[in-house]
Amino acid sequence: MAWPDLTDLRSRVRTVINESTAGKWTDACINRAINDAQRDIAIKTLCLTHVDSISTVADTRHVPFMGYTVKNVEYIPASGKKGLIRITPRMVGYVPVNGVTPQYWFQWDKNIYIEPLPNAVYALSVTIADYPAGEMVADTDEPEIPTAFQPLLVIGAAWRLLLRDGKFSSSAQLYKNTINGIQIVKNNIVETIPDGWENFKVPKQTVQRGV
Amino acid sequence: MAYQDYTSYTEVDVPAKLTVASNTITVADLGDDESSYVYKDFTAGYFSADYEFRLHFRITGQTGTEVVYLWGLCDSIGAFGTLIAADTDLHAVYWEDASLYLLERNATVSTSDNYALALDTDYYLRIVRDESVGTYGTLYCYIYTDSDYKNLVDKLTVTLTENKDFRYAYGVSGKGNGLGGVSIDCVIDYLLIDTHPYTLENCLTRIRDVLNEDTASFWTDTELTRILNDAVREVAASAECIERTEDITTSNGTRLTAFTANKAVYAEYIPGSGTPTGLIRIHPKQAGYVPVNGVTPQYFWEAGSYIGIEPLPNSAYTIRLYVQDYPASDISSNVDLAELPEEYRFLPVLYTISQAFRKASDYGPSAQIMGIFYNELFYNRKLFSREIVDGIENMQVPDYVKVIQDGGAQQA
Repeated sequence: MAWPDLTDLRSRVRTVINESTAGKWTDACINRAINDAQRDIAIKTLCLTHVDSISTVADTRHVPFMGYTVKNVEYIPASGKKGLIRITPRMVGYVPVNGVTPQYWFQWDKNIYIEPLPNAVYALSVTIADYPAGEMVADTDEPEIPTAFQPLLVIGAAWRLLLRDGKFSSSAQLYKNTINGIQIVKNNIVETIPDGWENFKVPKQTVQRGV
Repeated sequence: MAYQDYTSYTEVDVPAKLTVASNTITVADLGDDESSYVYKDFTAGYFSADYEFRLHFRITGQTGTEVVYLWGLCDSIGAFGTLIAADTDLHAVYWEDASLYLLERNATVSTSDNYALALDTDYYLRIVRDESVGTYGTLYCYIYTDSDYKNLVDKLTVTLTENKDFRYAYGVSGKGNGLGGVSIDCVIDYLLIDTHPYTLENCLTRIRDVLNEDTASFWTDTELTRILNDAVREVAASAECIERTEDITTSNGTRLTAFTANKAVYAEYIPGSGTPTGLIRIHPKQAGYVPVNGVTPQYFWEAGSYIGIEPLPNSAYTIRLYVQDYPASDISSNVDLAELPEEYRFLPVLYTISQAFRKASDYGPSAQIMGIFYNELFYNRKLFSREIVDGIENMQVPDYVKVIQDGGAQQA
């Protein structure tokens, strides 16, 4: 059995909250806190990523996707791949385009919008940050988040559980530790290169178009 | 529990109309007379209490009024049309003639609810049995258009007429006893057997975990639910996280056009033909001074529940707004989900705990939890907001306007 499974995590949480066998906290209650902590870490770090193949529809700008946010989009022509540039909706129709194939994208709700407006079916490869697919329920279930984040599951669950015992200052300290830990590990292992503001400027040609 | 692996299911497909991959079943050219189905034996009585299944489907083609069963539970093995004809008890969700049906079959009696849907559209379903509602429980099928289960299209409801445990879960089934000459194509994928952690019932459990009151006493479920709904609205307003699009139409000679959502972030002019173009956000003081090219909409501003358009519209133009909104309705039944993106669904729990502590005059803990709530809210908002603030350059009145006001010639 690989480490850690739900039983391993629960034991470590019980050490932190100082209750070795179920009393104030049932196993079900601790499981809920561990699962909440896992989702929280996945959301804050974008560490669970999958790549989906999706297709545009002719004359429809948007394409739905599954997951919670899109990290990047590639257009897949008959051969090779081409990365798409992220824009905002106000830039639609104004950014320089070369031909009719997908060249830019933006996300709104759970859809990817493509510029230029697709005139046919185009294949896209989309890198998506995701949630854990489901809850850890069985004692042998293991976390989905990467190993580097897994120690944070223990304190991430413990700060929630200590509130039940009225230990508010201890909970606050662990909450702070959790947030700091997430930030440090995230900076180390999750690639987050933000777009520069320049990429979101409306091109100058637009400002001059009426002159 | 992770997504169901369909390759671990048993495939019965003599006509060879199914393609089964790990998370996806593709149905091609399946006729009503064909017995193709995919099922798994979870052992006798496995589905014996409340359950929840989630899946995505898309009907990609149909030639007539044919049927495909997108999900089912039963105690027998076979194509669902044949099982129903043999008066076999089952629960199912099926597509027939551009409608989605939720069905309970109890011996000779069928009880169902249905809703008309579109072809070539992605739908996401939550199929839930809640045994605490009604004599034998109630079966729901929530239909959404997004993978966060947020944009609710309709909620199908069947009041169950018997308390029945099931053994076999079906990933797909043809009718098996209908007419030939018709066919259907579809994709069914990402089947999950898992209770959503943030249903109303599960949120109340999490709140009570912290309040250390597992059954209602000092705090009633009714008051906690009321606070939870207030919290959902607070999150929606503060995080501006409920995103939609809304199409509006301008009127000839009218500057302002009404819209219904909370806030318009971006606007796009959709011509009848040709290239749609984004509109630049300006300040009303810039109207009449910004450079325009032609007569179609090129700039916009927001004025309360109205959108101002520059140049002054001389016709009916379609404008697509990218808006942020409030939830459409409160959550009230045990298995309802708040209309929030997944990344914000835990926050109303924190807010409700904080308000609940106030009732107990525990103002210190209340303030601490509220602090965590706002910290989490702004952390997530920073991560996920898709609103890019306009630079000051975009809000400037153009230089040549000053030349006109000075009485000089227009700057080239």
